[in-house]
Parts: sequence; C-alpha cells; structure tokens
Amino acid sequence: MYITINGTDYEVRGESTVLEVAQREGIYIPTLCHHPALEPYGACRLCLVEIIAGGRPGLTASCALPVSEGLVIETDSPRVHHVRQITMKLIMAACPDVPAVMELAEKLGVTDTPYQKASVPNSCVLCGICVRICSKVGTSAIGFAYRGSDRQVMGPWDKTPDTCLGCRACENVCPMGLIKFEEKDGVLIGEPFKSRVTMAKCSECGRFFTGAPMVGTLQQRVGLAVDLCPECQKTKEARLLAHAGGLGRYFNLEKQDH
Amino acid sequence: MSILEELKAKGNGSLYPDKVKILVGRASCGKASGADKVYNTFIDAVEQQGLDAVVSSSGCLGFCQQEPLVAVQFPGGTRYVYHDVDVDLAGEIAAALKNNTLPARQVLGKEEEDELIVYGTTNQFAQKTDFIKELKQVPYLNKIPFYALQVKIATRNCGYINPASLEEYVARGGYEALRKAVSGTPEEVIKEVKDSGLRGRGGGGFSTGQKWEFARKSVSDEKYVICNADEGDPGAYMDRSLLEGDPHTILEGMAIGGYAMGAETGIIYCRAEYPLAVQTLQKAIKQAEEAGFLGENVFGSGFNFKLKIVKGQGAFVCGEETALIASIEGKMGEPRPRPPFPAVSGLWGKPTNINNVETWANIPPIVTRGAGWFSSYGTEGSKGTKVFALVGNIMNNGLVEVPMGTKIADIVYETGGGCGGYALKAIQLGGPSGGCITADMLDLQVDYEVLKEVGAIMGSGGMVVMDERTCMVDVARYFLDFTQGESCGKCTPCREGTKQMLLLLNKICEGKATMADLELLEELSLAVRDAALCGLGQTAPNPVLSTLRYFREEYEAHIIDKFCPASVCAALVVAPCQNTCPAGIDVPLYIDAIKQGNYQESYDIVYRDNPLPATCGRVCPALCARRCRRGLLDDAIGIRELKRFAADKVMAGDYKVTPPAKRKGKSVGIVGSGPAGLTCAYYLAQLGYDATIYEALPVAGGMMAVGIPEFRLPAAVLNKEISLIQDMGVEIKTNVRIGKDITMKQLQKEHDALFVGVGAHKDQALGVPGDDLNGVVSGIEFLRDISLGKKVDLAGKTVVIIGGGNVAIDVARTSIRLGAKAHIVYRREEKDMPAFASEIHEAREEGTQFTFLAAPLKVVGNKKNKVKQIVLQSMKLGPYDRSGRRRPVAIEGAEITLDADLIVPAIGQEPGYDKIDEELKLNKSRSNTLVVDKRSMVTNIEGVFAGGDCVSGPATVVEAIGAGKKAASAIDKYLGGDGVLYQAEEPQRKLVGAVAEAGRLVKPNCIPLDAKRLKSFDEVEFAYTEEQAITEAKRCMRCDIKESDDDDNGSCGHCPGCGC
Ligand code: FES
Repeated sequence: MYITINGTDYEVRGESTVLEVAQREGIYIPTLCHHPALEPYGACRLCLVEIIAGGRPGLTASCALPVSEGLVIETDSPRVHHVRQITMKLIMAACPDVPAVMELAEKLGVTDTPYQKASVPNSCVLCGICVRICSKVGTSAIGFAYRGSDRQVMGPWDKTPDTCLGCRACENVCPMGLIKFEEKDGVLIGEPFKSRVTMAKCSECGRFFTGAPMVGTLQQRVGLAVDLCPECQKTKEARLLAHAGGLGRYFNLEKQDH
Repeated sequence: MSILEELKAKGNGSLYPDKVKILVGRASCGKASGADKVYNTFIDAVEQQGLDAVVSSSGCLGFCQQEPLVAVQFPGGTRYVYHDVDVDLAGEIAAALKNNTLPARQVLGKEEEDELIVYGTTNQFAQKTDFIKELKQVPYLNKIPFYALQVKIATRNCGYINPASLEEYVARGGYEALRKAVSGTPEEVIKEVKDSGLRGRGGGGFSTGQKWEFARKSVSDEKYVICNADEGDPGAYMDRSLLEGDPHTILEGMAIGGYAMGAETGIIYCRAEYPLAVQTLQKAIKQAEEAGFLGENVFGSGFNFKLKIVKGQGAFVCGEETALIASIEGKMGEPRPRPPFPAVSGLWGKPTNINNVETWANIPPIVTRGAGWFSSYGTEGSKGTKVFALVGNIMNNGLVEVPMGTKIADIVYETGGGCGGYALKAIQLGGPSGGCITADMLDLQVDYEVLKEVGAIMGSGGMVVMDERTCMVDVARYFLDFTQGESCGKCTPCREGTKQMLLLLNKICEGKATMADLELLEELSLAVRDAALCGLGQTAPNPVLSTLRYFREEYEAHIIDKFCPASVCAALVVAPCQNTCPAGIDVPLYIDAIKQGNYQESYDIVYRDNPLPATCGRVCPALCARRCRRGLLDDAIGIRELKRFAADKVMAGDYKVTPPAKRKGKSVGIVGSGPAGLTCAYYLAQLGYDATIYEALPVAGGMMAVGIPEFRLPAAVLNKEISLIQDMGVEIKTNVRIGKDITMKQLQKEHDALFVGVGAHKDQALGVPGDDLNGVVSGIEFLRDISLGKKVDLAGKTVVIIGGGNVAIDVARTSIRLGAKAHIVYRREEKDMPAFASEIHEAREEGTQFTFLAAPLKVVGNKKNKVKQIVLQSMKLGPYDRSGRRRPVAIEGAEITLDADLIVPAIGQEPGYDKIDEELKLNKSRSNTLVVDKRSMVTNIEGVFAGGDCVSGPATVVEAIGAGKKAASAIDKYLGGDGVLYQAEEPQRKLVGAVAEAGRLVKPNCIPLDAKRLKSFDEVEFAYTEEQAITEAKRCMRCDIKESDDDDNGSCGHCPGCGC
C-alpha cells in the first residue's frame, strides 16, 4: 500500500505506524514517549502530524497512527509546527532547565518558554516509558500516581516497590537519564523509586551481579537458571566454545579461571 | 396469561389502587429537600392515625426547584401535585384526606389522565374530583409553564412509577419493546433505531443506529454493550434522575441493544457517588432476572443477556470511552489513542458499544412506536427530545425534556421562568466541555449542528443559565479549574496546558495580566484543543474559547481597566455596589460615615466621585442596590435614600468648593450642560483647566432640568448643585445654540479640546397616520415646556400617553397635576415596562389609567385638525424575544378607540445635533448616537470627545456622570496630564458597630396621597429623618471589608457573598 508523507509517496508492506515509516525513510519526527519495544502510547504529543487526506483531517499522534492506503500526511506543516512548538514550550515550563529537554527544544526551534515555570525543579517529562517497560518486562513495580499536573512516577504509595526485580530496564530506557541504580553492599539501590533489591551472588566468583528476584523470575519465566555474573558467564561460554571447537589446547583455560 | 400481562395487572393495581394514593418524589433531589420526612409523615398518618391510603415513592418529576413534590389521587380520580411540601403541609393533606378533601395551597397542577408513551395511548381517570371546590381552578400540570413545552420520552416514567416496582414499569408498557425486538431480527431493530435519527445523548451526537451497525458487523465470539453512567459535569444530573426514577428503561434499552448487536453481556458503568442509583439498579436487575427479561433465553427467543454494574470511582475522564473501558478492565482510568475504536476492539479487546443513559432510555419507545413516530419530533438533523438539567440563575431549576428544535428562549423564559428580574447574559451548554451562547442567540434551536456552529455543544444536557451577575472570565476559570483537576495527566497538552491556562486565567481575574497574556491564553487554548489525546483535553479549552469569542470585552476590562464588570472577581472589586456604580462611588464608606453620624464626611465621599449627590439621591435608579448583597438576605440597602439624606443635610448648611489656585493654562469647551457635561466640566475645572459649557436652552442641567418634573427633582436642588460646579470655576453660557449662535469650528479654535454631551432630546415620532395633528406633543417637548414655565391648563382634558418608560410616567403624573386624566398605553405587559417600578406604582396611585398590549394605529382629528381620538391595535403575547419579554403581536381586527385631547408619544429618544455633526462630520452609529473610542472617549475628530446619552443612547443620570468623569480623565491625558481626577488615600475599612441583623429596608416618607398632592408640584418623597438614616445605614454588611482586613472577626458571616 502507498502513503504520502510530505508530498512523497512511500510503499509500505505489512502493519506499521506512520512514525515507523517516517523513521525508516529518514523523515524527522520528534518523539518523547515513543519506544520501539513498547505499544503506542500517544502521550507526549510531540510526534503530532497532520492528516491531510485518507483519515479524519487534523492533528494526530504519528506514533499511534496505523498506516492505511491513501493516507496523506504532513509532518511539519505550519499547523503541526506551531502546535508542536507550544507543546514543547509546555514541557519546558514543566521541566525547566533540563539539558535533554533543552536539546530537543532547540531542535524544534524553541529557545524559551512564555509559560510559568515549575517552581519545584522537576526533570521527569512523564513519558511513561519506565512505567510501561516495567509492566512489560518487569512486574509493574512502579506506576503513575496522582492526577493531572500532580502526576508522578513512583512505587506504590511512594514506598520501596516490593516487587522490583532489579532488572534495571527502566534505567536503561529513561530518555532523561533520571533513573539510577547503584550497588551497595549486596543491595541494588534504585532512585528515584526507592528500590532496594537484594542482589544475587555469582556462584563462580562470588561477586554481586543482579537483583536476586531477577534470577528467580528468569528461572520461572524462561526456565533459565542464572547463577553466574556476566563476566563468569562469558568465560564459561568461551570455555564451552573453546572446548567445543577443540581449541582448549591453545588457551590455558584453567589458569584464567579464578 | 403471559408474564407481561400478569405483571401488568399487578402494576395497574398499585398504580391505581382502590384507595387514596399518595406518591412522594424521593429521588436524590427530593431527599435533599426533605422528602423522606414528608414520606414518613404520610406513613405515620396511615399506620398511626388510621388514614386509609397507599403511600408510595417515585423518582423525580423534574421540577427540582419545588421539591418535595407529592401527588395525591383519589381512587380513579383527579391527581393533584403539591409542591414544596413540608411536614406541616403533609400533615394538613393527611388530615384533609380523612375528611375526603384536600388543602388548596401549594398545588402545582392536576392530571386527569396518564400518557403511556410506549403504547401511544392514555389512561383516562374515570372520575373527576369535582367535590373539592377550592381545587377547581388548579391548572393542568402539563399546562403550567414549566411543563407546557415538555415532551417526556426518555423520562416518561420518572415521577410516575415507583422505581422499585417492576410491575408498575410493565404496566406503563415496560418490556413490551424487548418482547417485540427479540421476536424480530436484530437487523430490524438496528434499522428502526437508525431510521429514528436518534443520536448519542452523551454529547458526541453520533448516530446511535450507525454505531450499533458497526458493532453488529464486527465479528467476534464475544461483544459488550455498556451504559455510560459516569455523569460528571458540574450541575448535571440527567442520568442520575433517570437511573433513580426509571431503572428498568435502561435495562430494557440495553437488552434490546445487546440483541441487536449480538452482545450477551451488558455493563452499567455508574458513578460510585450515586449510591441511590446503584442500589436502584441492582434491585431492578434482580427483578428483571427473576422475571426472565434478563438472563437465558429471553422471551423464549434463545437470546441470552446478562447485566452487571461496575462502580466508577468518580474520575471525570472515565466518561471518555477508552478510559471507561480501561477502568472496567481494572486498569488506570486513562484514555488511549484511537484507532482502534471500541466498536472494533473495546472491552477486553472485543467489539464494544457504549451509549449513555439517556440514549438507552429512548430505545424502548422507538422500538414499539417506530422510527416515524420518534422522528416526528425535532429538526432535520436532530430528532426526538433532549433532557436538560436547567440550573443557574433561573427561577425554575429542574430537569426538563423538550423536543429538539425548541427555542432556547422558550426553555429559559417559559420553562425556566426567566432570571428573576436580572438580565440574562449567557447560557453554558455542555458543561466544562461545552461553550456558551449569549442573550442574542436565544432564537437558536436545540439542535446538534446549530449549537455547534455557535461554539457551544449539545453536550450531555447541562444548561447553566447565567445572568448579569456572572463574570464570564470567572466562569471560564471555574470550568478550567474543574478540568485541570480532572485531567488524568497522561498527555502533555492537557496536563501542562490546562494548568498554564488556569494560571493565566487566575492572573486575569486578579487584574495582573497583560494583553500579551490574553494572546498567550488564546493561542494555548487553540493548541490544546488541537493536540490533546482525548475528548476531555480537546474540549477543555472550549469554555475559554467561547467566552473569548463572545465576551472578549470582559476579558479586556479585567486586563486593561482592572475592572470586573459583573463585580465577581474579588481582587478587583471593593464591593459590588461600589463596583456597579457608574460613577464608582465608595458606597460602603459613605454609608458607614452616616452610621457614625459623620454626615459631612459621608457627603465628601460621595462628592469626590459625583458632583450631583442631591440630584442622584432623588433620581438615581440605584444600579448599586440591585447588586447589594443585603438584598440576598432581605432587602437591599436604601443606598439612594442615604445619599439624599447626607446631601440634603450638608446642602442645608453652607457647603463650599474652592477652585485650585494652580491653573493649567488650557481650556476645554463643553457642549451641553446635562449631567455628562457638568461632570466633565467640574473635574476639568478641579484639575485647573478653564472649562466653559455651552447650553442651547435658557437653563442649565439638560434633561435633569427639563426632563424630570419638579415633584421628583426640584429645580432649587439641582440649581444649587450647579452653582457649586460654577463655584469650582466652570463657566456656563446658556442660550447658545451651535450652528446658530456659534459654530463648532469657532469652538475648536477657542479651546484646546471639546466635549460633546448634548444628550438625547429628540423624541421619536409615532409613525402612524395623524401623528402630526394638532394636539400631538412629544413627551420630551411636553415636559420641557412645563419645566420652562409654559402655562398649560389641562383641566378636564384627557391625555393619552404612548410608551412605557420614565418619560411616559412623568408626563402622566404631570398631566394629572395640571388637572387632566392621564391614560398610558403600552404595547407590552406591565412587567415589561422599562420605567422604575416605584414610579409606575406612584402614577397608578395618583390615578393614571393603563392600557397594556395595545399599540397606536392612527390618530383621528376633528374638522379643525385637532386631535379627537386614538385608535389602538390590540396585541397578544407572542414568542419571547431577546430581552426575555414576549413579543407583542397584533390581534387582527381587534381595535380599541380612546378619546383624547392630547396625545403624547414617549416611545424613546435619540440625540439631536443641530449643526454639530454637519460641521464636523462625526461618526455615528445606526441608532444615530456618536461613535467614540470606549476608553479614550474621543470621536473620529482629534480633540473632540463625547459622552452621555448622545453616545450611549438614552440612559440614566449616573451613567452620564460616569461618562463625564471618564471623558474628563481622557481629556486631561490628551492635554498632557496623567488622567487622575483626584488624589485619595487608601481608606481604612473597618467595621465599627454591629451590623443590624434584623430589619428590612426603611422606606422614606412621602406626601400623603390626597387632593393636595395631586395639584401640587411639591416633591413627593421626603428625605430620611436622622433616625431613619442611621437605622438604614446599620443594615449595611460592609462587603468592602475583606476577610484579612478584619482580623478580629475573620469572615463576618453576614454576607451571603462569602458563603455562596
Ligand atoms: S511519541 Fe507519539 S505521542 Fe509521544
């Protein structure tokens, strides 16, 4: 099927969203709440595009817009540009002076916001990627709390989320880099969610390497028994590989082991 | 006997028992006004006192303003509905019933038949209850204004049946539609619904039949129908009323929908805040299951349908369909992007159809009566009826169901009974997602497209009526505050955008905003509408956008003038009286000074803002008193009377003004010596300008001198005030007519600026044959001649005056004093007369005759062309016009002839300019008034300013004074000053001495009404005595004292403004 983006026709095979097609074709559409591993969410509204024909005319989030035959889209029409800039300015007011936000704003030609800036410094843009990744790969240990402009991401009742696996997926995906996990004395400390996860010890080297619940979950979900830290795992695999390839004699594997 | 017939027989037995039946409206609204107590009183009467009657409960009959409503019916006889029933009246009814009679008070109406909408038949009551003579005059319920226009389809059973009785529902045709539906094909049902033209009553207005068709066509092993009962608009309670008053109709509608779409499960998503509704529904579901109307194999058709209730936790956003579905699934009630649409993938990923309560309630009658019947109501694109919750500044609050196509004016004025004497300002439709329409648009019809076109929406049925006491910026702020609080926070535009919009609106209401803020607000509103994820966010800006569309001036007043015209925004309003006064007089302060016995101080406070206190103390319409908060308790303060008291007290002594020593060396010429000109000149002189007034007449004072008779405003009083203005340095040149004695060009040369305040002295002609006969004299001319001393003898003559304003009344009262008989002819009703009510009252007291609903057709003369008779066309009341009055329309062929010696048309004035405009080419409006910039008061000619009646059209003295002040300030600015008229310190606002809790308005004494008064031009009304004045002054609640100023007491609790 064919769709038209900014005056050019593109052929699309199979199901995808307008955003995906645009990205594939190198057409820039800003996003904040989109993550390729997650379902469309449509919350930040930066990815708005204008439907000219082939759908209900008007602005809509490209990340959640499935392509359909004959769709005609403008990704940077004056209307899109204008509304997108205002949306960006709103984010800037909510999260003033956050470098990642400023950087994105600059890309959209916005340097300042006319709106009243949040008095309490806040860097989270509420894209919800962490919440969604947690519900997809983790255990929904964190979620949104409060309505409207009080919305926040936190563990239940802002306490240490007791189901946190310590998988650190949220840390990985946060576009603002706000989530940090640190190991301390065998405990994985995740902020700002107040995560406290006991770590598993590597059965080989005795180092702490991941959240203990994570080990259990992997066992449970995919039947994978993990008891080695990534280093040891690598070594073990290398050794297996070497043995399998009959290379053992070239390497003194025994010696490298701890 | 089939189950339906069996139930029907039982239902009829309880609907029409063989003894007296007492039906108490006990929905939430009734309960809130004490219906349970009333109910218990009747139960008591039956159980303890042996009253032989059946007492039952019903839902809401809609007239919530007059709850508790109680219907009483003798077996098979007339049914009487009582309103505002309290325990006393209930006891009285019970006692009377024992004697086979009924009390005659508080009877809203009677009924002699019941209409069965589902069948299209009526149940006639066998006997009339004629033996109660006192009740013979009681009107039929469906003829009283509140019900006259209503057509009850969705709410057909509310108030008539006991919602807990399945039998009564069936007796009125219930479940007949379901039986009919399942005996045909689903396609037939869908076709009927589609052809009926029914559209979603929840606000969207999408074709219900089409929606059903989509869901029907979605292929799936499982489908759902949902009833959206998450009613959340502030002030709206249509759904609650239906759920509480007639639960089975929802159940039946949904079962029919389920059958049509192929869904076997229905879910009612109901607000948890509606406990009574939930309880009623639960009971109804159980009954329907037991009777086999729900469950397996409905009516033996093989169709299975089960229903359950899910309680929503009160989030407004859950009214949005995707959020509602998420909430039912146990997820956070947040919307998600569409597509996929629920008809394809809804609840649990299955095809789902959602309709709102009212939509479902319409289904059963559509199925039984057919599409043709339903679509016979309404307009081209909007069929059937619509239920509205009519609330706000309206006399008859309540739930009304009117046919689509009904004029808004009829709903507001006929059904709603109008705004109780205040001017209608706007109507908000669709609550926080909707928009407003203005008083100019009352001719609009209830129609999806029509309302959308003007920026409002049909919405789910909230209709909030707002009168002049409403600030539209505050309204927008209120709704934004609501939506901002209800935003789920998922998407940026709604979460951050509504917050920023609210911040901007707060800034405007506090008088801290700039015009740039207003632009920002508008731009942001449009962007949020465009960009938000769901309906809540997309529609949240509507209240702002529509108030901006129609009331931008009000926004600008807050921003530029730091003025809230409706006296609502606390930060900008000293007190409503002060804020409403066109001259801005600090009313609470001068009243307080009187209370403390400081009359001179009181006078000074008035004089600072109004150089004509004694005059205004007599003739001011006291716009301030209309907004006096004391009036919400008992009577408004006698503000005018107190002003007169202080003025008379001080003027009796020798009050002096001194012109400033420092002169500006510039001069201003003022054309016209009416209140606008005098005021303008006074303030300019006080600022050190040389001010000269040019007056065409031989006396100064304009309309005050020649338009208001001596018995209302003695010339001596006015002249004394004018002489004080002269003492301030103003020169008044009388007998100088522009174009004859002097030209505008000359004035322009002589002065540095000019002010035109020539008033509106030209009477409009009658415009009928004979209006030029000898003996037709215009009202203004008549009054002027008398004032200027012309001797007129009207002894034994008849004067017919045409018109309903103050001029007409003044002419009548003057004629009577000259020995004539006065007869006023007005084309509308008495209550529509623009004259002050007190004046009308006095005129009637003095013997003026009135003929209402009549308009002149021709004036008949004798041979000498002298007036002999006037022929009038009789009128009747037509539809409501924009002013909220019913338009008079001619009754063909009905004429009245009155004998007359003098005919005085007083049907309105317009400005006359002599040669002014010819010379200067001033811009004029269509009504011949001068066009000025509303802030700088300047005309299209540089240096020429204008104000007063010649700009506003005929208005009041105090409005002209206000205009004169504004012009003085503008002229000062134009001539290099800062526009500040006087320096005053921020006053101390403190409550000294208690507020008198009890006590109504003190009325000033008048000359007794006797033959002497009718011959004399002496002033009729006296000033307050000192004692009266102090008593009255003590009633002032001092709304000007803000809570924080009064740290001893905090909020005084006197003023309902605080509590409301
Ligand atoms: S990326 Fe599409 S709405 Fe955020």
